[in-house]
Amino acid sequence: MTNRLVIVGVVIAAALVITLVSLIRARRLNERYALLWLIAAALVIIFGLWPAALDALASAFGIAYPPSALFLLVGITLGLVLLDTAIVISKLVARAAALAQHMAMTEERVRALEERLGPDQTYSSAAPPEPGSGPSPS
Amino acid sequence: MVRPDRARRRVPVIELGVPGAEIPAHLRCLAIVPALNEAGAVGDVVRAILAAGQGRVDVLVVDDGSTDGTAAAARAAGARVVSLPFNVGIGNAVQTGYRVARAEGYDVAMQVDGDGQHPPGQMGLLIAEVAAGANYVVGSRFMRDAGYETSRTRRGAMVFLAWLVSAAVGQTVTDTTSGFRAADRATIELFAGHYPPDYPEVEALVLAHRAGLRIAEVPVLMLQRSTGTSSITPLRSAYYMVKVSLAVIVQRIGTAPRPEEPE
Ligand SMILES: Nc1nc2c(ncn2[C@@H]2O[C@H](COP(=O)(O)OP(=O)(O)OP(=O)(O)O)[C@@H](O)[C@H]2O)c(=O)[nH]1
Ligand SMILES: [Mg+2]
Repeated sequence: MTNRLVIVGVVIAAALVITLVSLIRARRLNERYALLWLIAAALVIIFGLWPAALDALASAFGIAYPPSALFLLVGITLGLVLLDTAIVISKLVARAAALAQHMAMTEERVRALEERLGPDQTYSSAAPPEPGSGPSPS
Repeated sequence: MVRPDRARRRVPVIELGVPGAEIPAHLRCLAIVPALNEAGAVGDVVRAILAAGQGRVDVLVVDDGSTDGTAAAARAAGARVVSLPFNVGIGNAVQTGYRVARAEGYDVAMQVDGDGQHPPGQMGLLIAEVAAGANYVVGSRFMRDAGYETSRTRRGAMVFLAWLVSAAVGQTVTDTTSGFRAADRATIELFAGHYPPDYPEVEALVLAHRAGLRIAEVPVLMLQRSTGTSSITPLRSAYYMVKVSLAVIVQRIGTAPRPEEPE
């Protein structure tokens, strides 16, 4: 007998997989960050369609109600998704700060150099860029 | 909100030329001044540092996304100004200064608050300690009764942090939150690579200790804030205490230094 809760889980997981794949195809989501989500969805689908494995898993965990084992597994995987996201955010924040520092230091050096060049001797007046050769404002 | 310590502040009289505050002639020094919306105070701070520096101290104001003309005020007073494009927090801001100091080969980097609380006349006291062999020197408000008043909660928090840090670094540190500091070349090198991104003062001490650097403290007089607004609020203080304590304990257990971000 298939549990209705598990069927609902499988349907939601299938919808999640479709959403993830279309996001990846539209290049709005990097495969790297979809991977753990896909694993969570795959767990639900595999164990949902294969009740014997789910029962074995539940008894291995000592869980009387097999669907609980499935959702415990999914809960753990989604916990890992959040942790991974926090790690990525930490890295991004550190990089943004490093970039800001670097940019600010460079800007100060450019200002000092321009001051040394004297009044009106900015980059554009010291070396007028050839049309089409310099960075174009767009 | 008016805090009681503001209301009954007692401003000690500080003369600029404190005895023994002479700046050693052989050292090139960069004063790093973090400033967030300090247009009202930063000009005077810069001028006071330049005056007290006897031509041996350059001033670098790190303007961290201020919206009140802090950068212009600092520049007009004769400072170099590094303007960060958005607020990156005091730790990252100060680290920018250490990176400049490293890139330009300064012998000593001073940290002086941009709100006027650290009398620049006392920079020499800290720099002298560096010249005497210390790697990282903290100007302490609490080593002698210098009339620095603060609220009871804040005082309690500072006592707790002093205990925590003293235990972590194996030596007595009385003023762990003081932002009035001097760093020698080894410390500049360390901090240019790794520096706590926010609320850095306490953690930086443990970081320096773990890197095998010699920490020293010298007594200084500090003033109460005269203009602008403090970055400290009750909620932030609570976050501060938890974050800083956790950082010290984690540092103590031992962490691999984070890989330096590419420059
Ligand atoms: N660059 C930068 N500077 C900051 C930031 N927050 C505060 N500052 C500066 O750091 C210095 C110390 O900050 P304060 O808010 O005065 O902190 P405090 O001295 O511990 O607290 P008070 O006793 O209330 O003055 C001042 O010069 C501020 O302008 C920030 O996010 N970035
Ligand atoms: Mg202050």
